[in-house]
Amino acid sequence: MLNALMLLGLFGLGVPVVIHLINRQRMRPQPLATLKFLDQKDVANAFAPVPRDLLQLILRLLLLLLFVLLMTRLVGPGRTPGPRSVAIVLDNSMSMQRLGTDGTTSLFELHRARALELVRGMNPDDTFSFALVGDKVFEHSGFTSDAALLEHAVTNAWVSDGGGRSLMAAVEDAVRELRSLRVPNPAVLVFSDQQRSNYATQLEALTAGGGGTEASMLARQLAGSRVKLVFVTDPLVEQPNVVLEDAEFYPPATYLGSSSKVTARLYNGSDTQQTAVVSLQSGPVSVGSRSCALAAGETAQVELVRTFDSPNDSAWGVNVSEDGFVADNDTTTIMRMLKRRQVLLVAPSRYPEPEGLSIGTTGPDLFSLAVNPSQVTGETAGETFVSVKRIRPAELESRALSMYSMIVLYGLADLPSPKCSEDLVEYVRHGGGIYIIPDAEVGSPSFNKTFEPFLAGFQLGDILEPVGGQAIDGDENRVADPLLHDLLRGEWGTINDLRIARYFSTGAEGELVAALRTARGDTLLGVASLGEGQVCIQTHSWNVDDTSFPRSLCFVPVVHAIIDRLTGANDAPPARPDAILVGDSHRLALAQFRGLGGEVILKGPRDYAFAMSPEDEHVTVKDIYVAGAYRVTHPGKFAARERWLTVNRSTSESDLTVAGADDLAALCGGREVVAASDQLDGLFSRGRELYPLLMILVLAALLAESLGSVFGRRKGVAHEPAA
Amino acid sequence: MPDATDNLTIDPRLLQRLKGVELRSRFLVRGLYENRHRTKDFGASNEFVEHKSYQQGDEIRTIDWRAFARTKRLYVKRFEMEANMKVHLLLDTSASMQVPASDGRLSKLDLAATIAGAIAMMAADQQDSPGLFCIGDQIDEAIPACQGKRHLALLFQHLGRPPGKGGGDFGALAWDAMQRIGRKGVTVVLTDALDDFEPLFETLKGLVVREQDVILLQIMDEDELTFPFDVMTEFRHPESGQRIMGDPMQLRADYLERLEAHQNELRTFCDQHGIDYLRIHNGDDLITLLSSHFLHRLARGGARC
Repeated sequence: MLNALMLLGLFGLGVPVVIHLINRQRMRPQPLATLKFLDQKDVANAFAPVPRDLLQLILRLLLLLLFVLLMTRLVGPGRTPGPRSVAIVLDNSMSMQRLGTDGTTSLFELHRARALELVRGMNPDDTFSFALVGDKVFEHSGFTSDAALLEHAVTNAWVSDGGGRSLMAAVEDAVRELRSLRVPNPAVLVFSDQQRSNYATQLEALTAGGGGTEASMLARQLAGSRVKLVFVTDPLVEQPNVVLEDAEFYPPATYLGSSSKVTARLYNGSDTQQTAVVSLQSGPVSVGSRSCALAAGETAQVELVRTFDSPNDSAWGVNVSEDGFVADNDTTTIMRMLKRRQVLLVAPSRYPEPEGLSIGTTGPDLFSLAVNPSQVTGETAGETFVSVKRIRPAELESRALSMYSMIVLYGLADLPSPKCSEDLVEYVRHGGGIYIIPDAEVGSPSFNKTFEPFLAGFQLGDILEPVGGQAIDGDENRVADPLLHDLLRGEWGTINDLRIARYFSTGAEGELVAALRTARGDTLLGVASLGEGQVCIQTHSWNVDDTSFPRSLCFVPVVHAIIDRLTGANDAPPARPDAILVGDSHRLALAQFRGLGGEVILKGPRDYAFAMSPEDEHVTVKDIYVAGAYRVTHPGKFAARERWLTVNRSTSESDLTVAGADDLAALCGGREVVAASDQLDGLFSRGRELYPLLMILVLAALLAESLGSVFGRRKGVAHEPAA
Repeated sequence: MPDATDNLTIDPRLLQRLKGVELRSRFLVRGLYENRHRTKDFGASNEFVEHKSYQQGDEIRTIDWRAFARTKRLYVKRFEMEANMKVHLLLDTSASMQVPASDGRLSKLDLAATIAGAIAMMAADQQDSPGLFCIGDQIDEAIPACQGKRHLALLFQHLGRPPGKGGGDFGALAWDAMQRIGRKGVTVVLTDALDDFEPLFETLKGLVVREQDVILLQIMDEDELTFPFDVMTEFRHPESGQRIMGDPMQLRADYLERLEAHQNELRTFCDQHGIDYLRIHNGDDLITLLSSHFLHRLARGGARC
């Protein structure tokens, strides 16, 4: 009986009885002058039940009864199972990649094949639904009799690298839907490895509730329901498992030709010692490996070093040798390549460039040497990732300033043209850095006038030549900018011996933020912001006659600190590469696709597309449930710099503890709910819904009742005696 | 026509149809006044009867001089004498006649009163004298036969308010009424004839003996003839109050059989005693039925005379 609630309709049987009784009560005496012609035998039985009325009453009761039974949807015995209404829930979490007993086929494939077999064996009056569930419901067909649609859905089912957090909710939904549908032979088949973490929340709630089944939503739904819930479990191969928890490069970004170290963290989840081989892979090619022995339950870190000889960002795989659970054997990480920085040094002709590989002693020469000694000396040693391009002021107009990370204006009192000044201002406003170094040949008024757009109100005063040189103020509280705090703290050597023999006094401080001062308080180095870029102004030159800095150990760090500051705004690598876990959402900054709009395509193990607004340079990626390295592309810009996004598995999914039959039974209110996949055939009761038979009976009863009424009325006029 | 219809509504179409039908006695009646009814007496009507040898005392004007011329003997021509007629209406007003009819039809009593009124009006129209006896549990009204509009109005007044009560012995009470009627005339008995036949038959025979032209109009309800009931019903006799509850579907066959036997017995009696019998029920087309019946009656009467 599929709709027992309709049995309430049996109360309606009282209606014809009551009507019958009322009709008897309301029987008004019919005056009949010919009463003497009535048969005395019938008169004697007048108060006995009258067969015709009784028959009519019985017919009406039978009609009502049959109608109620029709509405209750009776199921009678039959030779074939069904009609069946089955909700197939297939777990596609990462743990389903465990191998079955044959050692070659994953549990997911085994269960998918079993589900496919069920779908292909559907009878025409069966209705099935298929749900592919992991951390979310990836596929839900709804209840249908279309076997082809279901077969397509099952065939295309895929296994994710996420967990099974939504499995229990999907099972509850399926049970609830089957309850509400009131369908024959209802069953929910959960094809899963029954990983305990999938049911952890509900099991913990049961434990917290004292073990009572009333705590389980599923148990409440199943109570009093005909829905059969079966957790399909199949035997698994128990093999030792070494989990590769994560792996990442340090530093996460580097320059072309330099190296980085990848650190992989391993965990031996088995009870015995295991030896794992960790390898770093570029695509399918292994570029380095190390072996590591782990005791039972031990966690270890394995480091591999790699030198990067490609200018492009790249995705690297790290994996461990095959074990009992291959799904957690690999991870991916990204190496971002930093661009070399190029400094444009503009110095007047009074600073001739040294010929050949000789080393000059002028301020610009010493600055160049500090920036990249290898470039000046022509030797490999001392190579940095900053190169210096030295030009005359007249060449400034012909240079594409945006190609340079920063510009050093050394000893300049004038610029070649006003347009040159405007170009420099635009350069800074768009994130460039300018380092202005006046020397003793520069007049303050002329300097102040020429560089007025960059000085932020700062003005040079008179040139000072204190006797014995001016010492550096070592109090870091007197400088607002922390640029040279390491210098003041003596990190780069003592500053007591440092002397400034010639420098410009401060005419006006303006909005310049001092980073270095003399002992008498004059600003030696200050930083001002202009648009997105910065301007650094130094009130003394690097000429050896003017300062003792070039002869000190702190000269190179100071120069590189200033370069890092002025180039950082333009070419700073992100703090960390774009790396997420499966199912996470992440806001990806894609300046190179700014203004394009459309869709950003992530190409990897599966392709994903995410909409991008033309007004925004960010795109939010989410719902990626297949781990791997994804290349970020845009159909509208093929030549953009490569960007990568890595999606890795959560280590919690490597906990392969299985919920026992008792646990599952407790979740379902004590029902026996576990069965192997080859035991499903006996699950469904054999029978057929009786509605065709009941419908015929209802119609027959209706016809008999109608004929009885009509015949009764006609019989009344059929015996009129002849006049 | 008199204004007597104030108390009894008679379908004008019925009166129109009956107007051309002469209510004639199939027997000779003797009347106080010459009328259109034939009697044994000879009179001055236009209907020639026979020649008779002239005897002393015969009126000279009745001598047939043409016959004298041919035969040299005196013959007198004799003509029928038309006389008026007493028409007595014996109306059964017992409770069994008062049973209300279904489907808006007239009750038996109303139907009988209507027919009685029509006959009375027809009689008055041809200068006859209608009289009325209303018989319930006793002779409630006894209006002697008389002529005149005032008499007719009185008669209609009583027909308009028949008592419709009591009953059970119409035949015996009709016998009493017969004693007051006298000889010769027309007696119309309007009853459902559902009581015991014996007193009724005795009365009818008595009327025949008294040379009354008896017309028995059996007034029935259509439901009594067809017994159309189909649900469990409690039947009650309007006079005795006896109640019977039963399934009409079961009772019908026997009921109709007994009723038909009863009717046959009544019809046979009337045929044997020369009583003009007509059964009328409230579902009949009264106009057609009555007019055709009186036409046939006229035809039959002519043949016998």
